[in-house]
Amino acid sequence: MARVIVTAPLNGEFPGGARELELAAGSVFALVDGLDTLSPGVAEFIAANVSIAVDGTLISDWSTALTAESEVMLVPHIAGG
Amino acid sequence: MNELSKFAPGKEFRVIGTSPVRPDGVDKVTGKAVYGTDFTVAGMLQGAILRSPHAHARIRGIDTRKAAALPGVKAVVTGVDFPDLESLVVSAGESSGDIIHISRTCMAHEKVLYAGHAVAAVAATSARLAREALALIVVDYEILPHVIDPEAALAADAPLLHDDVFTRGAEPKPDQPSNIAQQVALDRGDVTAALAGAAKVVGGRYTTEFVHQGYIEPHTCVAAWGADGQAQIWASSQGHFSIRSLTATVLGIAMADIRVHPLEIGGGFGGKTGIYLEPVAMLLSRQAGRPVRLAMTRAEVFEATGPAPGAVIELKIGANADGMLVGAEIDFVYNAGAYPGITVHSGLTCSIGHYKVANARIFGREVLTNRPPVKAYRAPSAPQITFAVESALDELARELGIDPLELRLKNAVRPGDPQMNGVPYGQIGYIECIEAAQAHPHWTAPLGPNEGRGVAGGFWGNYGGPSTAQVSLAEDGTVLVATGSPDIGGSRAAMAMMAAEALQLPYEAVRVIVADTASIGYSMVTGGSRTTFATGKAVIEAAEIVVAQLKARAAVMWSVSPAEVVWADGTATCLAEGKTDQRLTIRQIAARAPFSGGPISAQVGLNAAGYLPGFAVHICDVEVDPETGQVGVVRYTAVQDVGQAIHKSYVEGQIQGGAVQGIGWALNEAYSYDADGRMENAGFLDYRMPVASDLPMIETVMIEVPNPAHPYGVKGVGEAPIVPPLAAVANAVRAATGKRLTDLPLSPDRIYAAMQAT
Repeated sequence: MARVIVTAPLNGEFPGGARELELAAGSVFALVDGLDTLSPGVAEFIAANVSIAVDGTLISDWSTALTAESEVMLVPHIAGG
Repeated sequence: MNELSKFAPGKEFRVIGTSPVRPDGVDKVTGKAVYGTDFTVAGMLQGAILRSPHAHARIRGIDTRKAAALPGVKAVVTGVDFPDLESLVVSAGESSGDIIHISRTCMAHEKVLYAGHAVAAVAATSARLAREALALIVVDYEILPHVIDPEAALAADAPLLHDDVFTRGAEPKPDQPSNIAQQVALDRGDVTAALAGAAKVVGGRYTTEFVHQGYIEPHTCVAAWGADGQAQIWASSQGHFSIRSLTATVLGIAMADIRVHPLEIGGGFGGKTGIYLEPVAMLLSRQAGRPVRLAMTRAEVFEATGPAPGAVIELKIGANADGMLVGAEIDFVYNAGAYPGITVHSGLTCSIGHYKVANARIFGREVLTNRPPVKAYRAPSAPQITFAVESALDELARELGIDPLELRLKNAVRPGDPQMNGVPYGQIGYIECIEAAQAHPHWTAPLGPNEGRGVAGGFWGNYGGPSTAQVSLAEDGTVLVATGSPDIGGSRAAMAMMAAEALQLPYEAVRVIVADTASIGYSMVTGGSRTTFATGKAVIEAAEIVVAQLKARAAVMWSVSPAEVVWADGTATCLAEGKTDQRLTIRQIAARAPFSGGPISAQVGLNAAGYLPGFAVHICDVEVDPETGQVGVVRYTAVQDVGQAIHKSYVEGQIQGGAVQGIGWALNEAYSYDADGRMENAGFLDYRMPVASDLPMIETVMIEVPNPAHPYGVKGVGEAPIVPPLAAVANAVRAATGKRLTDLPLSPDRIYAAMQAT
């Protein structure tokens, strides 16, 4: 099970404001789909608002493979001007 | 990223790091460049927008009959002409927003939420007629109580702006609507114990006001919506793809049915990443059956576009006797104006993200008020909170008797240290910036009477994101680069330089265009300090594919393997035995391209990751007139880690521009409101931005710590320089006067009053 760390305010999108979740997923695509099952609509929100780091590195390719030891962080986009 | 485009430490460049003439420069300095306001098209009507005089009111009805009957008026539009939309969070520039709120920002429906909110629009055969028609529109308002101050908006009995906004980030999820659109929190370690055990704790309450980006060119667009449902929009913006997607979504039509042509842009700084006029012009055009132009006045720009949020920040920071930070407690409120969408979390991220502080409790709220909805402004949400934190650090250094740069050096983050979100920093250069500031002659130069020196640090995360670039060869071997990234800060030159470097050609052999939305694949906005990094990466990768094609074509012509061809100085050389005297220039290969496989070109679309933050340290000297409180900046030095500088003088220009805007924020600029919630200073005479004659030359020091995730080591540079100036100026004023001022702007009356106070 990949460990998913959800930073504020994204945690407010999950039941109980969960800041940490565990999810079985072979890729980031599968993980986002799994999160969307837990909290319908969150995949769309992630696409528009969230950056994803896998094991300490921000990634843009959601086909990135995940293992049971993976740590996935969902962090808000830092917007720019 | 392919093998060729990986970063190579110690790589020697031919073109990168020079400062060639910008390709669009002559047209711009001779007035020939076509900006948004310059564009015309045959049969074009002139539009105008009626705006609310009230800060908060219900629209009971709008009577447009007299306006529509005026000879020469061809179309009238109000909120009822906009399609009903389902709530949907969409990307809007580099932030996101609900499409209903984006639509309502273009045209109010049912309620107006700020003075300046659009309520109706007309298109007529002349601008004068359009204005006359506006005067004939009768709007029946039910005036509602309004709230301008963000702290007042927090009160339980404050006027509620929306009945469908619930505080995002609150636990448990609220079931009552609120003016608090969002809240963010960070809690790590034991801050109470850390502050209790600190040798020194400093605190304070800091405030900043709404400030505008102050771009010279007002928003303008021309829209033509044809009877076949296909449309064209001509506009200057930071992202024509963003205009396309937002306008299409607001109007409920297919994105491919809108072709957006980018025009030259007279400044944006984050304020031109969204839409205001385009859907309105589209609806007017459809009704009139002709193209329609809409252009804002300067007053409309102030009253109806998106400034930077004001802030109220309360904090405590503690350190041990050696100056090591032990804890920070920060509570901040950002005033977002009428609709949610501000990046309040970047306020949290940038607050103490440049220092190692083990114990921290930070709580931030985005609050809605009856002001225009805020928009990004260079490093959005960072300058305000950095003003508070870096002012407090200045106080801490005084209390501890430690040099303020030394205090920062002791606590500064290094590569591998965790960011506020927990992700480790990559190859950042904050330490190098502080050390360069310490070594700079400015830091130890003597001061004159009534002068003081301040210093401040800060950073911005920068961004990557999606970009598309195309590189193609003309028949004579010259090179054309097309991107979808509007050129705001000289990116055409930077793209040409990166393509020339990859192709090993002279800079002058490459020409760059910003292609319209039908002519190139998607690119995110020019913003977030991302274009040279992300679009540049796409350009380099496309150019490297073209190099591979050139080598393959030469190999075909020589009947050898491509592995037996090398590319250098724009020429293919054969390595095959017996053919080592064979050479083919790019011109020769291009001439025979049709007979060796067809035209040579490559398009690359990517979503660039691996972006790194930019850090900065600014030193400011001010002279304060003791009789008036007037502040003059007498010397200013900006040190910044820029990664590898592609075009050195443009990087320098970005640093200088950011510093100047930050100085204006510190000293002069603020939205002022009357009791009825109307802006009192919606013009450049009363909203005073610094001009060249106000300031000394901004000295720059470029620290080049390359980004290993970019083939040429690029980091973003455009936003970090606006982060430190607010505190650098305030700390200089503190040094000159002995008074700590915590409310911006540092206007003469405030400084004089502080100096007179005992």
